[in-house]
Amino acid sequence: MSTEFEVGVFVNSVMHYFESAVQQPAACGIPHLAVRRSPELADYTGIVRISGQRDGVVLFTAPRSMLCVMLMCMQDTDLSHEHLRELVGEIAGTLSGDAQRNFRHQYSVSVRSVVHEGDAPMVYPPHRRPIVIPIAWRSYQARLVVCLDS
Amino acid sequence: MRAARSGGTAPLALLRSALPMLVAATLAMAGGAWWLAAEHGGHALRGVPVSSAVTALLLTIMLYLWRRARTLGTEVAAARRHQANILENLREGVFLIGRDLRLSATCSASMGELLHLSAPAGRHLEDVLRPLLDDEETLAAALTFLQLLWNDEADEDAIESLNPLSQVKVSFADPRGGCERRYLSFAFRRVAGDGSSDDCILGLVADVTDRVLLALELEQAEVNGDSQADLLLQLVRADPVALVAFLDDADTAFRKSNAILTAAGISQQQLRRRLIGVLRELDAVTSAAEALPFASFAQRLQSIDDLLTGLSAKTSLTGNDFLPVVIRLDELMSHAATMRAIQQHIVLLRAASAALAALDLRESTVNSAPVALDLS
Repeated sequence: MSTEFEVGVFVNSVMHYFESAVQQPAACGIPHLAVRRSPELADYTGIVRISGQRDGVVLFTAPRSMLCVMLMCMQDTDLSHEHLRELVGEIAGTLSGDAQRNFRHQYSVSVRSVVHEGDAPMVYPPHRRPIVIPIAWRSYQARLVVCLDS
Repeated sequence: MRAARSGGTAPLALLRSALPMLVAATLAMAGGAWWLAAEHGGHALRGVPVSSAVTALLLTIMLYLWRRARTLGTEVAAARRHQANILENLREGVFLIGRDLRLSATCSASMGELLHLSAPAGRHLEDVLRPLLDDEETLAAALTFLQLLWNDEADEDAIESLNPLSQVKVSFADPRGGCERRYLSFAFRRVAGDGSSDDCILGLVADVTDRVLLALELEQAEVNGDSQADLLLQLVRADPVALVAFLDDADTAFRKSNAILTAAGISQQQLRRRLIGVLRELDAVTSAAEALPFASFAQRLQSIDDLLTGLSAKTSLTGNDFLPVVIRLDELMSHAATMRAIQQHIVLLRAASAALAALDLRESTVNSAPVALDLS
């Protein structure tokens, strides 16, 4: 299965989340490579680890302000740290679910986790350049990072 | 399945066929009883109540037949349960097609999952296959193939090799607008019934995506292996100074292209400006690559150039359109890194070989020097 198809599945997954759960579509920015440095992570990051025929990680990282507005759009007034973590975890869960559905024959998707700014640094597969896809929603900017070894 | 179906009426049929026999036996026994009575002067035999004996015999026969019918009924129920279990648990999809190419109600549970069908019974095969297949030609060929299977004079084994669905790529529409690609393998065999109206085609379908993808990967690995060997030869023959200069220039162009893509903004004007910027950066490398004999590099550059040219012809662009460009750019960067690593190894090998040659030369010079005479 081509990298293009795999990354496309993750992009569609995030886009669909915004359309269905938040009910306001997001726009996909121009993807680029994180060359010689790790992609910058925002306040909250949901992580999905992938193993099997391909190893790697898929991240959704968003600033606190964006997540708060997302919760408000979902008629949720609890903007606590735990609740924001849950929201990012839910997005990571959507990514994980779509990966399992589409690539169950190729690789397994491990348990998702959520990290907060200042937690342990992310570890990417060696000698790989993560693909960073900016996700623009209203005036906010999140990122989807896909890093799979070949 | 036919046996099981006919087996369901077997106890009744048995009783129905046994009925004349029972009547005959009853008549025969009644006749025997009358004869016995006549032989003994119209009186019943002493101690032998003839009518009771006949009744007992009849009851025994009926009991036997009832037991037999019950046993057969149990066997039929067990056969039905087994059939249901098999159809429920088969990994492959099994289905029956009638002469009108419609699916019968008998099919395995996995069939619905494999073909994404909720109620296959009664559906025409054409309607089932049309949304799955990409091209009309394969569909038409499949229908012709099935019509051929119905031909009584056709050689079934010879026809089997014509099956256009023996390995077919299908796409299932995703409710989110995307599609899921799978590889399915269909097999068909005509099954003769008791009469020609009972004939049907037995169809089997299996998901062979894993097998096909593995074969494709293997094929790709072989192609990559060949191209690596070619690349090695090309690098050995190349001028090292020109090669390093080219790789440095290419690396700079790739980084600049990536930097252009990294800038924020997704308006049409901004997207188009980025597209032109990346095209310009890569054009310079393409010209340089054409001057050097690196087919693999030129091929990759051509592929990304084609993508960018295609995008520039589009009236409306989105950020997602750039995803294939970024993936090709990543591949190019990896390829350039591989070339640089091989070139560095070649330089080291050349240096080591030169050092060995120098050492050999010195040793041979020392050995061939005139031996000084010992004055003593």
